[in-house]
Amino acid sequence: MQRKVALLVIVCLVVGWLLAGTAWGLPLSEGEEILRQVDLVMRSESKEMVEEMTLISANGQQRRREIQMWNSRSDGSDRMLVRFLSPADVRGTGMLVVDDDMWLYLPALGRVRRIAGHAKKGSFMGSDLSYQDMEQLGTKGFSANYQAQLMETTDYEDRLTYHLKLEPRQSGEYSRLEMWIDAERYLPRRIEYFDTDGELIKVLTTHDLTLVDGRWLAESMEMADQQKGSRTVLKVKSVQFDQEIDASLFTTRTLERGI
Amino acid sequence: MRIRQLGMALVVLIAFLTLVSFPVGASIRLGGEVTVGLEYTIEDEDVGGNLAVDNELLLTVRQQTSSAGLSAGIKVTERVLSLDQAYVDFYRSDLDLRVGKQRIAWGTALNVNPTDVLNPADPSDPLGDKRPVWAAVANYYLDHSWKLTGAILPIFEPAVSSLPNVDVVAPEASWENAEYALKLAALGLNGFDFSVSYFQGKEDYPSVRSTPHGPEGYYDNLRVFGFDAATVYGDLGLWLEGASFQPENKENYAQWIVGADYGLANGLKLIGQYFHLDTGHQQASYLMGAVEKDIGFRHRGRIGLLYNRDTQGWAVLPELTSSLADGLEMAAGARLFNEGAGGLELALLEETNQVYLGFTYSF
Repeated sequence: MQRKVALLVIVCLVVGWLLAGTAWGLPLSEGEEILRQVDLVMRSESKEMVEEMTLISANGQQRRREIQMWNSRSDGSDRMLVRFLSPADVRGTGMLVVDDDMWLYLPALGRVRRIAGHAKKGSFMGSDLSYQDMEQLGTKGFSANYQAQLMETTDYEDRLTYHLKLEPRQSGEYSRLEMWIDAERYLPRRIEYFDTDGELIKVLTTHDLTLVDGRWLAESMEMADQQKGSRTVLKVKSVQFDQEIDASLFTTRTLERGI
Repeated sequence: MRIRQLGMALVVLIAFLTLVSFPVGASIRLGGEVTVGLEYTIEDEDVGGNLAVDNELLLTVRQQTSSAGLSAGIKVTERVLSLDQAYVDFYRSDLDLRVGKQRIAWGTALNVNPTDVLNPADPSDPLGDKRPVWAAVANYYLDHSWKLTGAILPIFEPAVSSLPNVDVVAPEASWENAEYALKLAALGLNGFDFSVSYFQGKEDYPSVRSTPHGPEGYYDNLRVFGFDAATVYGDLGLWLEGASFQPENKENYAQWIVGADYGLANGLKLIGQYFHLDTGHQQASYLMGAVEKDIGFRHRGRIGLLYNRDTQGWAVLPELTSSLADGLEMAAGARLFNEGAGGLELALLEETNQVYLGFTYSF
C-alpha cells in the first residue's frame, strides 16, 4: 500500500513538473528555443529601412509604393515611424506608432490625427500585411505573443528547416501560425497564418537571404492572401541596423514637419 | 495696404535668404496635381440639369533640410492664377517657425472643427478645404508630449466679403486689426491627446449694424476659447471638441462636437459625429455618420449621411474612389438632399442634388 502511495506521489510530481514547464523557470522547449533564436536574428534595437512595396491584386493589377521606416525598441517601448516617398499621391503621408498609440499625418489634412486601435489590426497601408505583422517581422519578434512547438525537421528549398507550430498566448488576430525556419540562419522561410476559424488566410515567404552588418536578412518578402488572391511584395532597398536614432524622431513633431 | 506689401516683401526676403542658405545639393522637389471634374446638377427632375466642368492645376516646389524648409504652390483654377500655400520653415532644437501663406489646421474632429478658426472656410462648401492665410506660426516643444503654439495673422481674410444690398466695411490692414492665437497641446499623454486654445480676431462673416447712413456690414471683434481631446478605448476611437465664441457686440455662442469611429473585423469602418453649431444668429444640431470600406487596395467606398435634428433635413453622400494607376485617382459620387423638410441649413451649403466624376493626377 505504502509503495502504491509513494508511486502515486512520484507520478504526481513528474506530471506536475511536466505541466509546469517553462513557467516555473525550467529549460525552454526545443521549439521555444528555436523561436527565441529567430527573434534574436530578426529583432534589432533600432532599424532604418527603405522598402519598395508592390501591391498585386488577384487579377494582376499592380501599384508600387516606396516607404522609409524607422523602428526602435528602448526603455520597454516599441516605436515605429513610416513615411511614404512615392507615388506622388501619397508622398508625405506619415504614420507614428508608439506602443499602443498611433497617429497619422496626411499632407492634405495638414495635421496629425490619433487613429483608433482597430486600425492596428487592419491592413498596413493597403497591403496584405497588418500593422501587427509588420511589428512582429520588424522589431517585436514572435516569442512575446506565441508559444512554439517543434513539429519536425524537414527540407525547404533544399535547405534544412525547422517546422514550428505557434499558438497565441492570448487570443488575437490569428488562431495559430506555422513557421518553417532555416536551421542554419534562423530566418523564417515560410509562415502560414490561420484565422480564428482555423482557416489558412495568409502565407509569407522570404527570398534573397543575405548577410547585412553580420546578420541574416531576407531582402525580399511576399505575403499572399489566400482568400482574396492578392499579394504584397516587400523589397529592401537599403537598411541599417542598431544605429543610434534620436528618440525625438518618434514624435508627432516629426510628422508635423511633413518629414 | 502697407502692412500687406510689407508682409509680402518680408516673406519674399525670408524665402530668398532661406533658399540661398540651403546647402549645395539639397534637393528641390517639384510636384503638383491636375484635377478634372464634371458636376451634373439636377435642377429639375422633369427638365434636366446643368453640366459643369471644373479644372484645377496645382504646382508645388519644396525644399527641406533638417534646419529649414521652403514650400510654395501656385494654383490655376479656370484660367485664374493664384498663390496657394507659400511659406518658409525654420527648425531649431525646441522651436519650429513657419512664416508665409499657410493652412493652420486645429482640432480633432472630422470635417467640422469649432477650434479651427484661423483659416476662413469656403461658405459654399463648409465641409471642404479652408483657404490658406498669411501668418507666422511658432511651435515651441516643451518636451516630446507638450507643445505651445503662437500664431499672428497680420492680414484679416474673411469667409464672406459682401452682403446683398449692404455695404460691408473691411477692417483696415493694420497691426491693430491683426489676429492672434495661442494653443497648448499635449499628445500621447497617458493615451490622451488634448489641447486648449485662445483666439483673438474677427468674425469671418459680416454682421449688420444701423448707422445714420443706413445699414452697414462690419466684422465684429471676436475671442474664441477652445478645447479638444482624443483617445482610444479598446478598438473605439473617441474625440471631443468645443469652442466658446465671444463677439464684442453680440451674445456669446458655442459650438461643440463629439465623435467616435470603430472598425469591424470585415474591414468596415463606422464613423459617427454629433455636433451643435451656433453662429450667433442661427443654431442647429447635426448627426453625421459614415460607413467606409476599402475594396482591395484600389477602391474605397464611402456612404456619408448628414442630418439636421432641428429641421429634419438630411443629405446622403455616397462616393467611390478608385486608384486607376500610381498617382492617378478617380472619384465618383453624389450629393443628394431631401426635399420638403427645412433642409440642412449648414452655412451656405447649396442644397442641390448633384452627381460628380473627378480625376486627379499627382506628379
